[in-house]
Amino acid sequence: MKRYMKRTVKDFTSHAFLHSITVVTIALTILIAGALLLVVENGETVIASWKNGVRIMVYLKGDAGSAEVTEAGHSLETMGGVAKVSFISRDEALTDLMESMEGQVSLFEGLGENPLPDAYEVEVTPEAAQWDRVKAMAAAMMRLPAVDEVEYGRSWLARVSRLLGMMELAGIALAGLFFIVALFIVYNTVRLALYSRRDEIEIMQLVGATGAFIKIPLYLAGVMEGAMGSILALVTLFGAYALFAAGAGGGADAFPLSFLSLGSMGGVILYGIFVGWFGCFLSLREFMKEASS
Amino acid sequence: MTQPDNTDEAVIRLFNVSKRFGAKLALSNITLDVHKGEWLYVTGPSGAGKSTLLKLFYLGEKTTSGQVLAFGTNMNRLAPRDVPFLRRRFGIIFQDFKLIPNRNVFENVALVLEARGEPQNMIDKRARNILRHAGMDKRMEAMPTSLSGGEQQRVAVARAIAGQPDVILADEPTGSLDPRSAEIIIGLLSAYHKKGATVMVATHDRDLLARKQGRIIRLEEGRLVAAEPVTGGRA
Ligand SMILES: Nc1ncnc2c1ncn2[C@@H]1O[C@H](COP(=O)(O)OP(=O)(O)OP(=O)(O)O)[C@@H](O)[C@H]1O
Ligand SMILES: [Mg+2]
Repeated sequence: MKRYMKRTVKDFTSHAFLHSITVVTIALTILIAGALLLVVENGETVIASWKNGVRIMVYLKGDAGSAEVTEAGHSLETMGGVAKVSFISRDEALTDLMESMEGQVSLFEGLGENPLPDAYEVEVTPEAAQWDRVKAMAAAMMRLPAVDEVEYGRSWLARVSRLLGMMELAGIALAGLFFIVALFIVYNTVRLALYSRRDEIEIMQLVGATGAFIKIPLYLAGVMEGAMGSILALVTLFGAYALFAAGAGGGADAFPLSFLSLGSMGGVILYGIFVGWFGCFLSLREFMKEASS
Repeated sequence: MTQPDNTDEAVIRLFNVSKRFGAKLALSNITLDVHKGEWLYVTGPSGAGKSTLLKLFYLGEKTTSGQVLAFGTNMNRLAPRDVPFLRRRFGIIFQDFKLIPNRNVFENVALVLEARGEPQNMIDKRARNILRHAGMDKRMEAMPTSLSGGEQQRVAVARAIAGQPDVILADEPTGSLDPRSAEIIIGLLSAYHKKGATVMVATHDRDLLARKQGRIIRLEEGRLVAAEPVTGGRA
């Protein structure tokens, strides 16, 4: 194997131009697919965190009697799409607030009476965490007699959610398309490489080299090109991501951006390797058929 | 037409072999035995079918009709996967050399041994040794295109011998060569022949025929017209 590796490396240096073209083309197709993956992956985190974190705060009227409050809590619990209801008394709310604003306790000193209302915190089930459902639920809550005000997620999140859903679909479709494109490019570059050294391969066959002896370095080259192409794509993508994150970061509403997960990066490299190998396989199969006829 | 004789062990046998390229009949009804350890010349004018005849032995071409047996194996029935192993028993000196242009002299010779899976230190040793005998030890790093015709031919001969084949097939090994290169090539081939190898030389070089004794067969327009038992100059 070591010797095959040596031959492959030697071949890389002697056909440097052809090999770099293959690496770059693989990198380009992977880069486009990888960029989509990055957007979708980040979008998914946002959607997931939104879906898990959907809470509706139901603020109660100050003059509501305890029977009304209990009844409201009961109605909320039995409402469709509700996962959990917890009561937060105005005192608890104030303690929480003071704790979260520790250091600025002086702010509260002049406060004669607790200005906060009693509230129910309603957690929405993930299935119900869609904009229309949440909106309808909020409207129904609003109609309860003890309820003063209902607060829930901002509307732009809904639009982002829908957009990301579409991008996810587009991403899957494009990934499939780019797989075919990448494969086609590798297939053609390998074929070009094979034809440019038709004579060399013919000579090797004539001096008694087996098919495996001839093919193994070609496969190794394909696999290496795939790996190098995907690594090049990842590095470029990371560079672009870092620039983007530096520009977009800082805003209070910024998404928590993250680069591709380790698993995805491994997947991208495996994908590159597979494309390199499969492209080789296809063109070699065709080439050897012609060569032996 | 000669009948195959069974007095000597034949490494290659041809029975009524014909080869057609489209309308052109390159070889017509050839029957021939090549004996183990003999030195055999194939002569004849250009286009007579000498190269084509040699190609049939190592499956560089397939017969149109008739049978070719090499080392007892029928070429018509050889599985594709066994072809490389058949070819390793032949050391072929191609009329157009067929050196790999982007590999240097040493690598061209070493390739034959690498393809056989020989250990690296043995490859180095043998390739160097043979190139020294070919007078090419000073040009081992040179690329084939930078060599003269005679030098390329010597590398081609070195490569053919390197794999220690049973049979050498030499297609015009001295065609238009300088005397020094021709001398070296004949020397290499003779030395290898003495070790017991069978050598088959396709040539129309009269000097070569006079230089080394061997059986001569003659082709004309694809037909075997004369088969002299043993002719030629000094042994
Ligand atoms: N691949 C091929 N396709 C078509 N015709 C061919 C092919 N190879 C050989 N021929 C024809 O077969 C005939 C014999 O060719 P061959 O090369 O065997 O001759 P030769 O005796 O080796 O000639 P030379 O002394 O010039 O090398 C020629 O007429 C040639 O044109
Ligand atoms: Mg010829």
